Amino acid sequence: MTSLILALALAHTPAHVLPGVPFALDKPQFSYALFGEFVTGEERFVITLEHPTRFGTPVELFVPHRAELIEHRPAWALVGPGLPAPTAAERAALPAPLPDRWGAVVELDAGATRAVFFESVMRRFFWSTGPLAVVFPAGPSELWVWSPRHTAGKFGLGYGVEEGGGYTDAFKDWSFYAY
Amino acid sequence: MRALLLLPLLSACWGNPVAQAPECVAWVACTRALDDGGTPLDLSRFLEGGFCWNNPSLAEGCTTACTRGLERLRAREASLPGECTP
Repeated sequence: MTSLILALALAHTPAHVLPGVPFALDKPQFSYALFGEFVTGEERFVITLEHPTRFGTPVELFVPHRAELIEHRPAWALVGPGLPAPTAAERAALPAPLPDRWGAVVELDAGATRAVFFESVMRRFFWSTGPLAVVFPAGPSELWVWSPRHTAGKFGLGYGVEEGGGYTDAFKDWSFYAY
Repeated sequence: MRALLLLPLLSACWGNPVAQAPECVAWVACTRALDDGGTPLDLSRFLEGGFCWNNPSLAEGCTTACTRGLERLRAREASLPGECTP
């Protein structure tokens, strides 16, 4: 029990994101674990943010470490004004055209090996893209999550490090978060 | 009383600050060197005393994030300032 208390105290605030319904991250100074599920593999998940300054923080995408999901390697991108132009290959892989004058940081999770980590709140193993330090632009930006291989399955998007105190929300939808 | 007895244990496990990783010193320096000014740039969580270094688990994730972030900057930028070179 003590370990669970400690894990919760150090956790991101969880939330359930849905395809086609932009999720507004209303306190982007805090950390979140955003969980969703590809049912057809054609979905795109959009998280909207607005920072008062440019804001550097880690982002990481992970999927349950289960045999049936070994080919499930969703991708994520930070898109917004003032970000660098993606490469031609990255632009082609994006699930939607970039708005005019927007750039992108694209993480396609196409490497030969995948990192594995143990998530201490749900007490589950996940495959991960690995955390990446990125700088969000001041003003509006978006995080996109999609499935380049059109595979179905759950995912989680880890954002930030500062705990915002919403970790007990994990109990509201435990069966979804804990796969 | 039991809660009071638990406090030192919780404190010992929680409050275990870690020194800023050199990988994040390097990523911050490179990011700032590439910065063209404009709106303020908040990298505070990666700095010494920042939230990344509150415990070993966070520190490990931030160190990996900085390592990968620096690799990406080095691969993408055509001309790198000295702060970004190995």
